[in-house]
Amino acid sequence: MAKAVGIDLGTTNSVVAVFEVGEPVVIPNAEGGRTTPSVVGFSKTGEVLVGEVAKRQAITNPDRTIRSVKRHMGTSWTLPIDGKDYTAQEISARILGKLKRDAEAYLGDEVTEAVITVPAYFNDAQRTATQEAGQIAGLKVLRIINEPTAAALAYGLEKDDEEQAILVFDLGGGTFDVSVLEIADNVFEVKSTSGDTSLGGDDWDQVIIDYLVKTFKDNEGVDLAADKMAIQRLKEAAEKAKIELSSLQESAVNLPFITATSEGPKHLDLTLTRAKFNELTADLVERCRAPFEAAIKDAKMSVGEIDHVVMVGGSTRIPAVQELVHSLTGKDPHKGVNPDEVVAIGAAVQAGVLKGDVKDVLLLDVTPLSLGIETKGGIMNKIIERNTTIPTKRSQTYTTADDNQPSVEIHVLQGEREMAMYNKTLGKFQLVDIPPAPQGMPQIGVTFDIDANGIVHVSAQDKATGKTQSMTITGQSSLADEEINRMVKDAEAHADDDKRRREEAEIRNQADALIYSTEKLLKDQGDKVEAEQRSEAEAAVAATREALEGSDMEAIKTATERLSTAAQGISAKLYEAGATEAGGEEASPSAAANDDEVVDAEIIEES
Amino acid sequence: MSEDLNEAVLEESEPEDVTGEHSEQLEVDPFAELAAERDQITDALTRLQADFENFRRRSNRELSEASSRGASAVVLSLLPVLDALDLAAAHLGESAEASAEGLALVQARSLLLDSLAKQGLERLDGAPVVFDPQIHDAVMHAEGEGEPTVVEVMRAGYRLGELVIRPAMVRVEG
Repeated sequence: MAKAVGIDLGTTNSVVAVFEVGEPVVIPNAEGGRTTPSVVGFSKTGEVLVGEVAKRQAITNPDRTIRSVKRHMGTSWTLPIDGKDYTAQEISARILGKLKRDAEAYLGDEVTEAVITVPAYFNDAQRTATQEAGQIAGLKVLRIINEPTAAALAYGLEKDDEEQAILVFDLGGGTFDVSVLEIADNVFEVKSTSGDTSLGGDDWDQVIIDYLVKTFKDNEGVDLAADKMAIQRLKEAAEKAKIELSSLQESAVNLPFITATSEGPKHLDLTLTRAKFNELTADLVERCRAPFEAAIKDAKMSVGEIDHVVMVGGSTRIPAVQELVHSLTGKDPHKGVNPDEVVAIGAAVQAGVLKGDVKDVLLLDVTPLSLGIETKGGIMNKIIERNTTIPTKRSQTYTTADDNQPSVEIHVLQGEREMAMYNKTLGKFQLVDIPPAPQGMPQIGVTFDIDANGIVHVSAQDKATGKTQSMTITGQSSLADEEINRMVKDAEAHADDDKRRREEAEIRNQADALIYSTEKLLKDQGDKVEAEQRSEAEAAVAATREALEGSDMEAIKTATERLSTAAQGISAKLYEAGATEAGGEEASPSAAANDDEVVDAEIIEES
Repeated sequence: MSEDLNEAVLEESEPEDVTGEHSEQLEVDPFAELAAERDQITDALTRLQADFENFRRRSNRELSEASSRGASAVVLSLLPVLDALDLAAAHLGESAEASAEGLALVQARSLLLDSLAKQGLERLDGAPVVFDPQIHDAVMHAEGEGEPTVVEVMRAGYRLGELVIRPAMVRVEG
């Protein structure tokens, strides 16, 4: 099925995204990049190069390489190449064409429709030109939307019922835009726009490059600005430092053999602190202030009336820029969507809405916490893990803990702790009238079924009789987010403790099981067992029982080992005897050797 | 201007509203209504299934890509080390193997290159060759006769498997 994509056709870089399987995703280009430089080159051999590749050949082919064509959209600008005059929309169409091809390769499907974004200040002619560019590229343009609107859509800000005022702060590679939007009843209105068409992230890089060049000149007396290779390396280093300084307090710039003099090679090695970076770029940050204030003023609003702040463009990751926005608005901006991709994401959401994909998608929820039942020893046995997408249905088979156990209690739990007592009880019910049988023999199938509304149906069935008992738990997901977080954190904090308790419970369960099987062995086969072995086994059973009364885990382990050795001794003797008897009764298969999966956990007997 | 900027972003099309306001009460065939609803749901399900199929296919592909990308991230972080060794070796030139330190450096460099080559790293440093922006990044250019040609590799490029992880930085003539 043909897809509709969202395209951020930017001045410096472009991004394409698609709404798929319920969420918007950015489509990487053929070179593996998530953004594609908005550069087009016509090679001398007649090839058309777009993106990174066009950028790399630009210097060899300057007259036939076009950057920032967006600045010419809607004007009569043309570029003659090989006797043909190319318009801005024809050049833009080349960029769109590459995005379309790469998206098709990625999706394995045809892409025929698109939502394309434009700056809020674009006039009719510029919008029409953008639409034409889409058509030339073979795309049906479903809609042209404003970049700030797309950014707001990416954050789902239209979903609020009340009228909202949104400030979008967009600091791109080479342009800066501030827009104030108002949204009511799903209609966005741009109240004002302002900006600076020659301010962007590249300016921050340049400041670092200049600083490095100057420092090197002061220290070494060599001007790196004249050295093309040195400048290229400085550019890369500057960008890396800028990115590192968004999360670190300092960044090391280390460029060995940056140049050579008659004295030998020279190395550039210095540390740039965030404080120094902030000092160097203070003027640039300050230049963001006036457009911001103009936008607020033109919208005839006060800063206090702004409900949401959305950041767009990679340069809004710079801490000083974030601090400025925070100090100007008094608000924390929305976070979570990559600011380089937020516009394309929003365009993809719009495409999804227009194509009906968004409506069709059932918004699937997940279980916030694990669900399970209590098994022997107070252990919580999880049946549905947290963050499982619902609706879902899971079953497990359990068995009884005692001989002739007439009923089992299904204690339904919610939470992340290993031990039942620390989790939340959602409900309890009994499955009764289990026919008398040795422990481990009955098979109780327990099924958890969560429907799309988060309602949990728990049923337990005795597979021998088909007798079923069930209960329905509603509103299990109505726990407040804080409570869910608290429970998850609690489980993490107590993970070690819980693990130890669980191990203890398991050791006890094991000891219990061994006592049971040894006593059964003595009862059934006692007459064939030598008196000495028999008394040792009986003593070992008594010792294990006694150890179980206490809380010394080592004592229980030791006693269990002794019991295990004694029981194995008896079994070995019995097998020997059986083998010589030839044709002796085969040992009865254990209850667990059934086709169904039997979990090594038993439901506690009703108390 | 502000007229232009208004845009209704979300489509609200609820056909029920239309019939509700209709003046004459139309007989609604409950079966037709159910059939329509069924078709709608079947359509939604088919779309979802198709999406899921595509998604699964791509997930498989991305899984293998992700592991090679993981490798390329490691290799990429080692490139500055290779560059430094290249520059040091170039600086020492012919005299490199004359001193013990120089020899150690040359050997360490070729050991690193060999190890990475075994991981599929291919060095792009041929010259003179025809300029190809797929693998070359031109930072200097001089007009000349004929096809654009790489006359000097200023910093080697690298290809890992199919992917050019860094183009060679080159000087071009022509």
